[in-house]
Amino acid sequence: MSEVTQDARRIPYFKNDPFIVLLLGFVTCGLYLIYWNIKMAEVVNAVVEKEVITPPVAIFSGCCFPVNLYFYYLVGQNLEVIGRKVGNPTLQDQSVLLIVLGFFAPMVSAMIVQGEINKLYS
Amino acid sequence: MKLTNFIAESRHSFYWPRLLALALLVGVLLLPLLAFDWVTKPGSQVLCPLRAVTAIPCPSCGLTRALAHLERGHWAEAVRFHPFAPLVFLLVLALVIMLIFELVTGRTVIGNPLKKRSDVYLVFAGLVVFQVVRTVIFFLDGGWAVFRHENLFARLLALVKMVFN
Repeated sequence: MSEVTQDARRIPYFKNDPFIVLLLGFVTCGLYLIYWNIKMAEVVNAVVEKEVITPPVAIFSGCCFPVNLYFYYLVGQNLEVIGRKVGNPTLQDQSVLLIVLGFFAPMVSAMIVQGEINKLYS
Repeated sequence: MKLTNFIAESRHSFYWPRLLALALLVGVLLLPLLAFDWVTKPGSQVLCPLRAVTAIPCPSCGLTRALAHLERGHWAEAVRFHPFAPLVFLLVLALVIMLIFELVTGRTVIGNPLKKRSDVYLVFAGLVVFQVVRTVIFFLDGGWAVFRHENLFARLLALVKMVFN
Protein backbone atom coordinates (compact mmCIF):
# COMPACT_ATOMS: atom_id res chain seq x y z
CA MET A 1 0.00 0.00 0.00
CA SER A 2 1.41 3.41 -0.89
CA GLU A 3 2.40 5.94 1.76
CA VAL A 4 -0.21 8.41 0.49
CA THR A 5 -3.05 5.91 0.96
CA GLN A 6 -1.84 5.04 4.46
CA ASP A 7 -1.71 8.75 5.35
CA ALA A 8 -5.21 9.30 3.97
CA ARG A 9 -6.58 6.49 6.16
CA ARG A 10 -4.85 7.75 9.31
CA ILE A 11 -5.78 11.44 9.00
CA PRO A 12 -9.34 12.21 10.19
CA TYR A 13 -11.54 13.63 7.45
CA PHE A 14 -12.33 17.26 8.18
CA LYS A 15 -12.91 19.12 4.95
CA ASN A 16 -14.93 22.34 5.07
CA ASP A 17 -15.38 25.46 3.05
CA PRO A 18 -13.39 28.16 4.94
CA PHE A 19 -16.35 30.53 4.55
CA ILE A 20 -18.60 27.98 6.29
CA VAL A 21 -16.13 27.99 9.22
CA LEU A 22 -16.51 31.76 9.49
CA LEU A 23 -20.28 31.67 9.11
CA LEU A 24 -20.89 28.83 11.57
CA GLY A 25 -18.49 30.48 14.03
CA PHE A 26 -20.75 33.53 14.15
CA VAL A 27 -24.10 31.73 13.92
CA THR A 28 -23.27 29.37 16.80
CA CYS A 29 -21.81 32.17 18.96
CA GLY A 30 -18.38 30.58 18.86
CA LEU A 31 -19.42 27.00 19.67
CA TYR A 32 -18.50 25.82 16.19
CA LEU A 33 -15.01 27.28 16.61
CA ILE A 34 -14.52 25.13 19.72
CA TYR A 35 -15.60 22.05 17.74
CA TRP A 36 -13.40 23.19 14.85
CA ASN A 37 -10.39 23.48 17.15
CA ILE A 38 -11.00 19.97 18.58
CA LYS A 39 -11.23 18.48 15.08
CA MET A 40 -8.30 20.48 13.75
CA ALA A 41 -6.16 19.35 16.70
CA GLU A 42 -7.01 15.74 15.75
CA VAL A 43 -6.03 16.40 12.12
CA VAL A 44 -2.78 18.24 12.97
CA ASN A 45 -1.78 15.56 15.49
CA ALA A 46 -2.43 12.87 12.87
CA VAL A 47 -0.46 14.74 10.19
CA VAL A 48 2.49 15.39 12.50
CA GLU A 49 2.18 11.88 14.03
CA LYS A 50 2.58 13.29 17.52
CA GLU A 51 0.22 14.87 20.04
CA VAL A 52 1.25 18.50 19.59
CA ILE A 53 -2.14 20.02 20.45
CA THR A 54 -3.81 18.37 23.42
CA PRO A 55 -7.64 18.35 23.67
CA PRO A 56 -7.72 20.76 26.67
CA VAL A 57 -5.69 23.31 24.68
CA ALA A 58 -7.99 22.79 21.69
CA ILE A 59 -11.16 23.28 23.77
CA PHE A 60 -9.97 26.34 25.65
CA SER A 61 -8.39 27.91 22.57
CA GLY A 62 -11.80 27.77 20.93
CA CYS A 63 -13.31 30.10 23.46
CA CYS A 64 -10.63 31.72 25.59
CA PHE A 65 -8.30 34.49 24.63
CA PRO A 66 -5.22 34.20 24.73
CA VAL A 67 -5.20 30.38 24.60
CA ASN A 68 -6.09 30.74 20.91
CA LEU A 69 -2.72 32.47 20.37
CA TYR A 70 -1.02 29.40 21.86
CA PHE A 71 -3.13 27.17 19.57
CA TYR A 72 -2.00 29.07 16.46
CA TYR A 73 1.58 29.08 17.74
CA LEU A 74 1.41 25.26 17.99
CA VAL A 75 -0.16 25.04 14.52
CA GLY A 76 2.48 27.49 13.22
CA GLN A 77 5.28 25.33 14.66
CA ASN A 78 4.08 22.42 12.55
CA LEU A 79 3.19 24.28 9.35
CA GLU A 80 6.38 22.99 7.75
CA VAL A 81 5.24 19.37 8.19
CA ILE A 82 1.68 20.21 7.07
CA GLY A 83 3.11 22.17 4.11
CA ARG A 84 5.11 19.14 3.00
CA LYS A 85 1.96 16.99 3.08
CA VAL A 86 -0.20 19.47 1.17
CA GLY A 87 2.56 20.28 -1.30
CA ASN A 88 3.02 23.89 -0.20
CA PRO A 89 6.64 24.32 0.94
CA THR A 90 6.13 28.03 1.69
CA LEU A 91 3.32 27.41 4.17
CA GLN A 92 5.76 27.77 7.09
CA ASP A 93 6.11 31.47 6.23
CA GLN A 94 2.49 32.02 7.31
CA SER A 95 3.09 31.12 10.96
CA VAL A 96 3.54 34.75 12.08
CA LEU A 97 0.45 35.77 10.10
CA LEU A 98 -1.59 33.05 11.81
CA ILE A 99 -0.55 34.21 15.27
CA VAL A 100 -1.14 37.91 14.50
CA LEU A 101 -4.54 37.15 12.99
CA GLY A 102 -5.23 34.82 15.92
CA PHE A 103 -4.92 37.91 18.12
CA PHE A 104 -7.26 40.18 16.15
CA ALA A 105 -9.51 37.81 14.18
CA PRO A 106 -9.10 34.13 15.11
CA MET A 107 -11.80 33.15 12.60
CA VAL A 108 -9.59 34.36 9.75
CA SER A 109 -6.68 32.23 11.02
CA ALA A 110 -9.09 29.31 11.20
CA MET A 111 -10.14 29.96 7.58
CA ILE A 112 -6.49 29.99 6.41
CA VAL A 113 -5.69 26.74 8.27
CA GLN A 114 -8.88 25.11 6.97
CA GLY A 115 -8.02 26.15 3.41
CA GLU A 116 -4.62 24.48 3.67
CA ILE A 117 -5.93 21.37 5.44
CA ASN A 118 -8.56 20.93 2.68
CA LYS A 119 -5.66 20.27 0.28
CA LEU A 120 -4.89 17.11 2.27
CA TYR A 121 -8.06 15.55 0.90
CA SER A 122 -7.77 16.63 -2.73
CA MET B 1 16.97 34.30 12.58
CA LYS B 2 13.61 34.85 10.89
CA LEU B 3 10.63 34.72 13.23
CA THR B 4 8.99 32.00 11.14
CA ASN B 5 12.13 29.84 11.45
CA PHE B 6 12.23 30.50 15.19
CA ILE B 7 8.60 29.36 15.55
CA ALA B 8 9.27 26.21 13.50
CA GLU B 9 12.50 25.40 15.34
CA SER B 10 10.92 25.94 18.76
CA ARG B 11 8.96 22.71 18.33
CA HIS B 12 12.15 20.86 19.27
CA SER B 13 12.62 23.00 22.40
CA PHE B 14 11.42 22.08 25.87
CA TYR B 15 11.53 25.65 27.14
CA TRP B 16 10.11 27.99 24.44
CA PRO B 17 6.56 26.58 24.22
CA ARG B 18 6.35 26.49 28.00
CA LEU B 19 7.71 30.03 28.34
CA LEU B 20 5.10 31.29 25.87
CA ALA B 21 2.31 29.45 27.67
CA LEU B 22 3.54 30.85 31.00
CA ALA B 23 3.69 34.41 29.63
CA LEU B 24 0.16 34.14 28.24
CA LEU B 25 -1.25 32.69 31.47
CA VAL B 26 0.50 35.28 33.65
CA GLY B 27 -0.99 37.89 31.31
CA VAL B 28 -4.44 36.38 31.88
CA LEU B 29 -4.02 36.92 35.63
CA LEU B 30 -2.24 40.28 35.56
CA LEU B 31 -4.18 42.19 32.88
CA PRO B 32 -7.50 42.19 34.78
CA LEU B 33 -5.68 43.07 38.01
CA LEU B 34 -3.59 45.94 36.65
CA ALA B 35 -6.13 47.33 34.18
CA PHE B 36 -9.16 46.97 36.48
CA ASP B 37 -10.69 50.35 35.63
CA TRP B 38 -10.29 49.91 31.88
CA VAL B 39 -11.60 46.34 31.94
CA THR B 40 -14.64 47.02 34.12
CA LYS B 41 -15.62 50.44 32.76
CA PRO B 42 -19.17 50.23 31.31
CA GLY B 43 -19.11 50.58 27.55
CA SER B 44 -15.40 49.78 27.28
CA GLN B 45 -14.00 48.31 24.08
CA VAL B 46 -15.34 44.84 23.26
CA LEU B 47 -12.34 42.56 22.77
CA CYS B 48 -14.28 39.47 21.66
CA PRO B 49 -14.62 39.49 17.85
CA LEU B 50 -17.75 37.34 18.00
CA ARG B 51 -19.52 39.69 20.39
CA ALA B 52 -18.29 42.70 18.42
CA VAL B 53 -20.09 41.34 15.34
CA THR B 54 -23.19 39.67 16.77
CA ALA B 55 -23.59 41.50 20.12
CA ILE B 56 -24.31 38.09 21.68
CA PRO B 57 -21.82 36.92 24.33
CA CYS B 58 -19.63 33.92 23.41
CA PRO B 59 -18.90 31.15 25.98
CA SER B 60 -15.96 33.05 27.48
CA CYS B 61 -17.35 36.59 27.25
CA GLY B 62 -17.18 38.36 30.59
CA LEU B 63 -14.30 36.26 31.84
CA THR B 64 -11.80 39.14 31.89
CA ARG B 65 -14.24 41.35 33.82
CA ALA B 66 -15.05 38.42 36.12
CA LEU B 67 -11.36 37.79 36.83
CA ALA B 68 -10.83 41.51 37.47
CA HIS B 69 -13.55 41.47 40.13
CA LEU B 70 -12.41 38.13 41.53
CA GLU B 71 -8.84 39.33 42.00
CA ARG B 72 -10.18 42.34 43.93
CA GLY B 73 -12.29 40.09 46.14
CA HIS B 74 -15.66 40.98 44.58
CA TRP B 75 -16.92 37.39 44.42
CA ALA B 76 -20.58 38.07 43.66
CA GLU B 77 -19.73 40.47 40.83
CA ALA B 78 -17.24 37.97 39.44
CA VAL B 79 -19.78 35.13 39.30
CA ARG B 80 -22.35 37.50 37.80
CA PHE B 81 -20.03 38.23 34.87
CA HIS B 82 -18.99 34.61 34.40
CA PRO B 83 -20.08 31.65 36.57
CA PHE B 84 -16.89 29.70 35.84
CA ALA B 85 -14.56 32.55 36.85
CA PRO B 86 -13.41 30.99 40.18
CA LEU B 87 -12.74 27.66 38.42
CA VAL B 88 -10.82 29.34 35.60
CA PHE B 89 -8.83 31.41 38.11
CA LEU B 90 -7.79 28.29 40.05
CA LEU B 91 -7.00 26.40 36.84
CA VAL B 92 -4.82 29.21 35.48
CA LEU B 93 -3.06 29.60 38.83
CA ALA B 94 -2.38 25.84 39.01
CA LEU B 95 -1.07 25.83 35.44
CA VAL B 96 1.25 28.79 36.18
CA ILE B 97 2.70 26.98 39.21
CA MET B 98 3.11 23.71 37.28
CA LEU B 99 4.71 25.48 34.30
CA ILE B 100 7.23 27.22 36.60
CA PHE B 101 7.98 23.82 38.17
CA GLU B 102 8.48 22.28 34.71
CA LEU B 103 10.76 25.12 33.60
CA VAL B 104 12.86 24.92 36.78
CA THR B 105 13.18 21.13 36.96
CA GLY B 106 13.06 20.31 33.24
CA ARG B 107 10.48 17.60 33.94
CA THR B 108 7.00 17.32 32.43
CA VAL B 109 4.26 17.28 35.07
CA ILE B 110 1.29 18.68 33.14
CA GLY B 111 -0.57 15.74 31.65
CA ASN B 112 -3.56 15.46 29.39
CA PRO B 113 -6.66 14.82 31.55
CA LEU B 114 -8.83 14.21 28.47
CA LYS B 115 -7.24 11.09 27.06
CA LYS B 116 -10.47 9.49 25.88
CA ARG B 117 -12.24 10.99 22.87
CA SER B 118 -15.58 10.63 24.63
CA ASP B 119 -14.32 12.82 27.52
CA VAL B 120 -13.37 15.57 25.06
CA TYR B 121 -16.85 15.60 23.52
CA LEU B 122 -18.45 15.43 26.98
CA VAL B 123 -16.68 18.67 27.93
CA PHE B 124 -17.72 20.14 24.58
CA ALA B 125 -21.33 19.09 25.22
CA GLY B 126 -21.15 20.81 28.61
CA LEU B 127 -19.97 24.00 26.92
CA VAL B 128 -22.81 23.77 24.39
CA VAL B 129 -25.40 23.46 27.20
CA PHE B 130 -23.78 26.37 29.06
CA GLN B 131 -23.80 28.58 25.96
CA VAL B 132 -27.41 27.73 25.08
CA VAL B 133 -28.58 28.53 28.62
CA ARG B 134 -26.51 31.70 28.65
CA THR B 135 -27.89 32.87 25.32
CA VAL B 136 -31.48 32.20 26.42
CA ILE B 137 -30.88 34.17 29.63
CA PHE B 138 -29.27 36.95 27.58
CA PHE B 139 -32.36 37.29 25.36
CA LEU B 140 -34.83 36.98 28.26
CA ASP B 141 -32.90 39.68 30.09
CA GLY B 142 -33.41 42.39 27.46
CA GLY B 143 -30.87 41.04 25.00
CA TRP B 144 -33.15 41.59 21.97
CA ALA B 145 -32.65 45.34 22.21
CA VAL B 146 -28.89 44.91 22.57
CA PHE B 147 -28.83 42.49 19.62
CA ARG B 148 -30.98 44.77 17.41
CA HIS B 149 -28.92 47.90 18.03
CA GLU B 150 -25.39 46.63 18.61
CA ASN B 151 -24.79 43.91 16.02
CA LEU B 152 -22.36 44.86 13.29
CA PHE B 153 -24.99 45.21 10.54
CA ALA B 154 -27.19 47.47 12.66
CA ARG B 155 -24.19 49.65 13.46
CA LEU B 156 -23.17 49.79 9.81
CA LEU B 157 -26.74 50.70 8.85
CA ALA B 158 -26.77 53.45 11.48
CA LEU B 159 -23.45 54.72 10.10
CA VAL B 160 -24.77 54.76 6.52
CA LYS B 161 -27.93 56.62 7.67
CA MET B 162 -25.79 59.14 9.54
CA VAL B 163 -23.58 59.74 6.48
CA PHE B 164 -26.47 60.20 4.04
CA ASN B 165 -28.75 62.24 6.32
